[in-house]
Amino acid sequence: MDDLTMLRDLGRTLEHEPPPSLVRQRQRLLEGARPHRRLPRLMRGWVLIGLAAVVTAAAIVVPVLILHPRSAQVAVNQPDAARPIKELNLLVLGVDRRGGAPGDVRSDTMMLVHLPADRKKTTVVSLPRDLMVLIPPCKALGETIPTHLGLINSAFTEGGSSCSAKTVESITGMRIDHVVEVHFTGLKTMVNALGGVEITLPKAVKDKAAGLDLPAGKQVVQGDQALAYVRTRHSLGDGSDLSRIERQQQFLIAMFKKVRPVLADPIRLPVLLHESSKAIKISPGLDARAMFDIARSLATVESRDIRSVTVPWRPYPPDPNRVEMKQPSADKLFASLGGTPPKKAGKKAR
Amino acid sequence: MTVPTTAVPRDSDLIADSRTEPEAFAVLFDRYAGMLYRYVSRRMGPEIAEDLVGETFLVAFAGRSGYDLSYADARPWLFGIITNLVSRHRRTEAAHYRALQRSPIEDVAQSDDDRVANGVTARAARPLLARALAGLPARDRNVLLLVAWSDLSYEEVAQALGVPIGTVRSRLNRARRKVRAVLGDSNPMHEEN
Repeated sequence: MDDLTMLRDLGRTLEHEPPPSLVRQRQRLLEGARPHRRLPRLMRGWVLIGLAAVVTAAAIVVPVLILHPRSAQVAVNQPDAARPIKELNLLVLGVDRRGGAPGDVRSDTMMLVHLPADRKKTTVVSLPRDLMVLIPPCKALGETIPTHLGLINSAFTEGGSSCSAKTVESITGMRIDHVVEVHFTGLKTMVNALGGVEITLPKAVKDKAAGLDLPAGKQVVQGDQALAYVRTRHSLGDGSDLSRIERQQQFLIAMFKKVRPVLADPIRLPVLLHESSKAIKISPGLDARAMFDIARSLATVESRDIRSVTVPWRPYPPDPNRVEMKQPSADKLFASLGGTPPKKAGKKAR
Repeated sequence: MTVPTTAVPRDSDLIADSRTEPEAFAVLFDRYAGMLYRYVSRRMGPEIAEDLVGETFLVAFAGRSGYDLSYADARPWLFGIITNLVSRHRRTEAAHYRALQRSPIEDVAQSDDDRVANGVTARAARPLLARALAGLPARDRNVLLLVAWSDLSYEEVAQALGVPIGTVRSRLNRARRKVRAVLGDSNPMHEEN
């Protein structure tokens, strides 16, 4: 074997197949060579979606945790009593209604947020909705659906947020303390409570079907326009779900920027809390005091203290449009967050 | 129904079209993004590969008006761009090779008999090759890896790097000599030769 042949063999073992997310780079190209802010060198290697998700989750989590009409009053009146802060795992679901039927809702965004007891580093793990996982038995309409292989977001459709939590618990071995559902429809009230959110459009968008009519450039959007902006798939981006997710995340980053100063504002906070509570459902519920404690512990979190990752994945062999967790890196990640991922079948007797 | 008479557009046609219709450039992406990803994932690992492919096409797009349309095949041009981008990330590449040198040799599936039959496997040579690659000057490594890991001919490598073909040959020879020296240092197979 000569050196060139050995080198070629080495190359083959090192090669990776292009991931489905490469389509983002196509999108980047189509958006033109317009100048973009360069990420710091260290961060550039991160998967883009993960980076955006970092801030996204913060954007959601911060208001979410404090969003309860009752907690609003408590939050301003409670003395700052020291209380032990526990480690906390939250499953954040972005939920949107499809079609007209009341039960026809889907969870399009899934993020696992791990807050260690000292709250110094928050980790956000994005779970792509096309992730194939084993969905444990869940009760739906009185019937139990047995364990089966399915898309992770179908757990929500089948058995609601508790089934999503059960599924995530079973694949990660982490205990989910609370599931936080964020409804897009409620998003607009939050945006209004914040006084609008700033977005930048590369070109003007007019989409009658989506109810969108926005000029190009930097602008502040409110209410329905904001909702249409985050929801539309066809008049912005390349029409793919990936580009929409990215847009939603950018939007939430912008929201986070507006939320942070409000957290410290005793006058505006209750208003925001009250409005936001309409967009959010937490189960099992948190009592006002618990939420206040969590909110306080989060107020010191800066976006740079948040580590964001997408669960290590690779294309799902039977269907390249789907993905599956890449092992052992996925299990390692969960273990680092205090989870005990399930051992491979047969290895561990229960 | 008619027999389609239009041939698949050449890369140069697409680039020409993209000067007036930027969207045409996306076809080039669809053609070559996978190929570039595979190549750069070998050199840099998958974490950064995606971003580098994206940057390559942004750079190419920005430079499309300067493309010499007499070259029908855009691959050398794209490989040239990505090679330049790789050199900006020398530390990442070096770290990649360092990690390879440390990675354990997992030939558990192979029995000792197989091993004898096949001689030293490529996997066993992996840490040595990684060390050799890490030790090469960047311009020699660029030539060696384009020759070994892309499908470009010597002439196309020369075009990609903007150097005469003689330079490609001399750099390649020098690089291979050094690789062989590293392998020969501790590779029993080569000592027998």
